[in-house]
Amino acid sequence: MLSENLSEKLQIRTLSIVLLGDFNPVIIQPFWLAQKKLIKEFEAESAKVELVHNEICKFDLGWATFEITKRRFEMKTSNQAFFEPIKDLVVSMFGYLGETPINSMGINHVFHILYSNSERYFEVGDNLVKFPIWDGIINKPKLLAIEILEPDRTEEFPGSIRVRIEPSDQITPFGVAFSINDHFTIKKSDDGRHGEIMNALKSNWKTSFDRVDSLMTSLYEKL
Amino acid sequence: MKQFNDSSTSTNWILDEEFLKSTNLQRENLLFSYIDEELRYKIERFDKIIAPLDFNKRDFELESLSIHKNKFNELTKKIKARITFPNKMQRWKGQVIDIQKQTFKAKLDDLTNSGTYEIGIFDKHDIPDEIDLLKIGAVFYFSIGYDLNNGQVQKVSILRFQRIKPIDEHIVDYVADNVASLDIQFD
Repeated sequence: MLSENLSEKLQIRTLSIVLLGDFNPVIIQPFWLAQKKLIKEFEAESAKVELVHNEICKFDLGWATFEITKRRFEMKTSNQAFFEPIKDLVVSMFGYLGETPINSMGINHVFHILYSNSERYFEVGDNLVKFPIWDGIINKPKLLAIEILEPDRTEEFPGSIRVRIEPSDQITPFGVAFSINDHFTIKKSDDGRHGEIMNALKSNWKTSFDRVDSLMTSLYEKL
Repeated sequence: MKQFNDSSTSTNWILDEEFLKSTNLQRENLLFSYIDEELRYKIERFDKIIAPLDFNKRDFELESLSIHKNKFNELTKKIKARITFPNKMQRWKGQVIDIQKQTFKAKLDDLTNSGTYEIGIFDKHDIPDEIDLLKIGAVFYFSIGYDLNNGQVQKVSILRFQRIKPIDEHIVDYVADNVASLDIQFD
């Protein structure tokens, strides 16, 4: 759960699920999803299909967008009301496509935070990277982007956590985007064809939100 | 360029389209650039050549300019309508526990601040396209909150029934065959 201070400054929260493996992009299309009763029929009819090709399939259901290539599946939403439905949809889709080998997954949380003025905005950068090292090298140094990795998750599923902080491309001025990649991989002994990653998604869904909310709250308070 | 095994999202995107990728200012500039050149040409032509000479053509050009203006307004309206970001949301997961003629009752688990549950009564009219999914035990997601719609704040509520792959028959059979061997006592 996010702190009250953070909730107040949070302007937009988005979520994406990224899967890495071997996919057949042309299978996953709006009418296939409707035929499996995973979305409403009118959603399939009104879906905005940008591209269907052997190499890439890209469409927008209005509440979620899909981009599927042979190596990468990404589904994302910028509407918090659909966070749970996108998880259900991914689990059900790969329940039907059970043989699809999937070896990694990212549950990506993006927070767009609005800071009150330019002083506070630049202070965030100063707090993330102390600048004295640049004295005499660069005049008035400003932080553009930073990425921090926690390399080894010490839980059932191997993986990592990566935090990227950069100016928000949606909240201007003084908006900062915090992107948190909660990354899971299969164990070396697994082949990814037996629903390992879907099990990781189901069993880590709530944990991922708790972990990320706690991380964001602590980080925000320190900045 | 993404590194191998990089499962992060590509940018701090919101929506993926060209218009919506850009900031508000960039969006406006992009819109203006669509019409600016042609419109400027037409205005110059109108002022310098047509207006003093040909009244019929002048009316036609005026009409044409007005069509451009309307198109611009429509386009702006369409794009503004899509710049909608849900801002503050309270989310629940509901399970239907009773169905009446006009309403249904559900147990609601709070997904935003977990740990509590509430009982809510909903109107069947709120789910016209999902009425076939309304059954005792059915799960749905309910959210209320505010949308930030191009600077304007609007109240919204969304109710969506869970749509998932049914459990495979062989798993149901397996559970049915083995449930007796589990030492479970039901109330």
